Amino acid sequence: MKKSESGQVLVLAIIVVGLVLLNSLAIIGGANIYSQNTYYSVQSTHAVDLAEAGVDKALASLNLGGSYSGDTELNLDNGSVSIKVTSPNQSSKIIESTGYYPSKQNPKSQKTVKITASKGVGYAFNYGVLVGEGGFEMENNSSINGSVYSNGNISMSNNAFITGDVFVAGGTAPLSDQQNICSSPSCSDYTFGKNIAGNDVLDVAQSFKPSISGNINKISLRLKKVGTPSDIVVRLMADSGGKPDKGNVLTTGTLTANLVTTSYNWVDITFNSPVSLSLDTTYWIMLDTSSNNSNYWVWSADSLQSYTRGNTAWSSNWSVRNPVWTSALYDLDFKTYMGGVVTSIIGAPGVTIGGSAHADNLENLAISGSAYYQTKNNITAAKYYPNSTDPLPANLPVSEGNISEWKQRAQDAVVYTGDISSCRTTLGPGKYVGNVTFANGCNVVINDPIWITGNLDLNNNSILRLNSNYAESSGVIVVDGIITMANNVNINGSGTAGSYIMVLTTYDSRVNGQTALSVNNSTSQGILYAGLGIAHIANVSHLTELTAWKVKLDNGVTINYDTGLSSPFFSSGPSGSYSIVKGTYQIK
Amino acid sequence: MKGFTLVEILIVTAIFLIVGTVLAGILVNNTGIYNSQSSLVTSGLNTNDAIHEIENFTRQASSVVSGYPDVSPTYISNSTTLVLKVPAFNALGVIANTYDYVVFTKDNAKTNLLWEYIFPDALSDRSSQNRVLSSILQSVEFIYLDKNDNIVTATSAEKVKTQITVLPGSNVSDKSRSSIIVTNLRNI
Repeated sequence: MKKSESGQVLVLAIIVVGLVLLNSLAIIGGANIYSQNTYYSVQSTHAVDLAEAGVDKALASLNLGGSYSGDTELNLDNGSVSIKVTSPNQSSKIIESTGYYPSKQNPKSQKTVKITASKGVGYAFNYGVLVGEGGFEMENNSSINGSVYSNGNISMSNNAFITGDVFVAGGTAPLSDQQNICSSPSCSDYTFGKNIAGNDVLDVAQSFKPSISGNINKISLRLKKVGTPSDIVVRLMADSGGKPDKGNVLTTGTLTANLVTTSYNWVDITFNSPVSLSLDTTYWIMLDTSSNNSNYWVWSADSLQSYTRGNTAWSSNWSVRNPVWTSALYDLDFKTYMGGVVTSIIGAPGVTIGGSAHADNLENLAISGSAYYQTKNNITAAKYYPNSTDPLPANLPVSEGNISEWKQRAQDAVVYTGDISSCRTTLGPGKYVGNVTFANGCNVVINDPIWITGNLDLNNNSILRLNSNYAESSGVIVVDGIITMANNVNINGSGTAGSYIMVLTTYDSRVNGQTALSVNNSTSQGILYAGLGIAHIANVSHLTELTAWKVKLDNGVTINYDTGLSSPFFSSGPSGSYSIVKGTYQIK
Repeated sequence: MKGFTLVEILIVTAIFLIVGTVLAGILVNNTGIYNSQSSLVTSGLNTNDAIHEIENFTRQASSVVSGYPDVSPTYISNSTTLVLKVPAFNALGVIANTYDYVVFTKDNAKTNLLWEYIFPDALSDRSSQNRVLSSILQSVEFIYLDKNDNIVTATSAEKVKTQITVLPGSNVSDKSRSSIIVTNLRNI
């Protein structure tokens, strides 16, 4: 009988089949990894897209009104998204949107997009009392519970006291030392912050030579903006061979974008540290921007180049190894203000300051905290710091441009002509050509913006209240004439925390010395603003915030200031809707 | 004596030879396919990862900058180098006016390397990075576009079009592979 060899062939066959299978599996396995990786890439992108859809949904819901705090899970095409909204302060929301693919329970891919949305323009009121160059006068026995920052002298009569810190900035000369202002018809637009005809005109500089030696306190530039560019760093630089010297930046300051509008206006810039300039030496004011073809700046320029003590130049990048500066055939509109005016806090018998005192010259004061000064006479303090540099001038938080914009919006709403002297339930929005007087318990709901070309008189228990639908927004009333608040008058926000009415007068007291804002025996829970005017406060129990060119407190007046005004914001326009704050987009 | 007949041995040898040849052919073929597929996988993974990384940072960038560092730049944005300025962040969120710098560049000497460098700000929680995204790079191209897809200079870019091409594998049949992505800058 023949032996069968089939057993060996079977083994051989199994080995062969096994080897072939192994090879095939290896190939399939490899291809599988590749396809899974590609699939993962697609899923990952899908998850980001879902997350971004979630952000859009959150914005739309926030802008519908009411409150929106998120969705646990929203099913969208082939995936789902979960949204969380938090409010760090009144004017902004943080939106965190997570996209899940294919679903939240079983995600193969998950990405989170985090972004901040803001509702309006905020203004920074950093001090309870901010006084301009007119200074601050306190009569006998008057007092302030809070801190004061003044750009002008402070004088305190017998037994007056301030419980907080007191700052008097080094005096700014009232008139500009150097300036260039174009005059029609040679006024031009000098655009920068974008690419122009193939050149990145990003860094722009104007040079000048001071006529005296001393500290430079502030500069003013005449600018407008297109779109919403961000704040600019302004550098004061020395000169090197007719160009800004990149190795010699003397000081920096910030040009706050909020203060610039879409029409030309002068904007002030103060610096972060004091700088001493020498006369007849060239210095450069340099603005450093980054390129953005939709959000950029325009500087008012003089095509006659009439400023003989300096010129204009631009560069794509001031800080590279060999920066290239090209001259421009313009002189730009600017003003420089030197310091050097001695400013003081002058007290009298019994005058005390609870915190620290900072001024060039201190006289007749009992200071519980430390004294920072250059010269002193008859003061006592816990610690003495002679040869202290003067505090720097504080910028007013609202610019002329902002006021023009509010007036324009009021005018665009509606214009009423004629005095208003009887009570009404609501006021505004709109422009009122005439005087407005409310008295005798009149309770008025305010819708902003309101522009009153005459005077605003509030008497005898009358109350102004911001419409409750403003929620956390604040509102503004602009008055060209004189504001008087007498006898138990009250100014309130919408009722929601952080909402205020700002009552602002544009009246200029600097020449005629007449009071622009008079508050007598009343409480203001609003923001009182008289940027060019004299505020006269008599017999007041409580003020939230006061900013004026000059402040006078009568005998025995006590003012309690709210500590820390969390920056109120004013609706950015008729829609006042939430929009994404650039620069806050993050993928996690 | 039991044994094998000549016919049996001949038949077995013949079967063995035929099957062996076929098997050898399959094995050789498969090895070839296997090699080319796995190099495809490697290159595919490489390209995907690289593109992803570039896309991630471009989306979060607030702008393309002309070079890093600011003064005397070592890396300058051009068609083979991308220098991005990305907002720095910490536990509380994005830090205002503070930026990290991210550089994607083709190595000058070893042109098959695509590098990623991250230079975080001192305040940022982002960690620094210094790594090779791809070691089989054939070419990389960055094209800078504005919102309307017009070509602009690097610093004016609102979108970046990135094309990465990787080297073919060693097999004759292999081809180089490309990936293209267009990413919008979200923080500009």
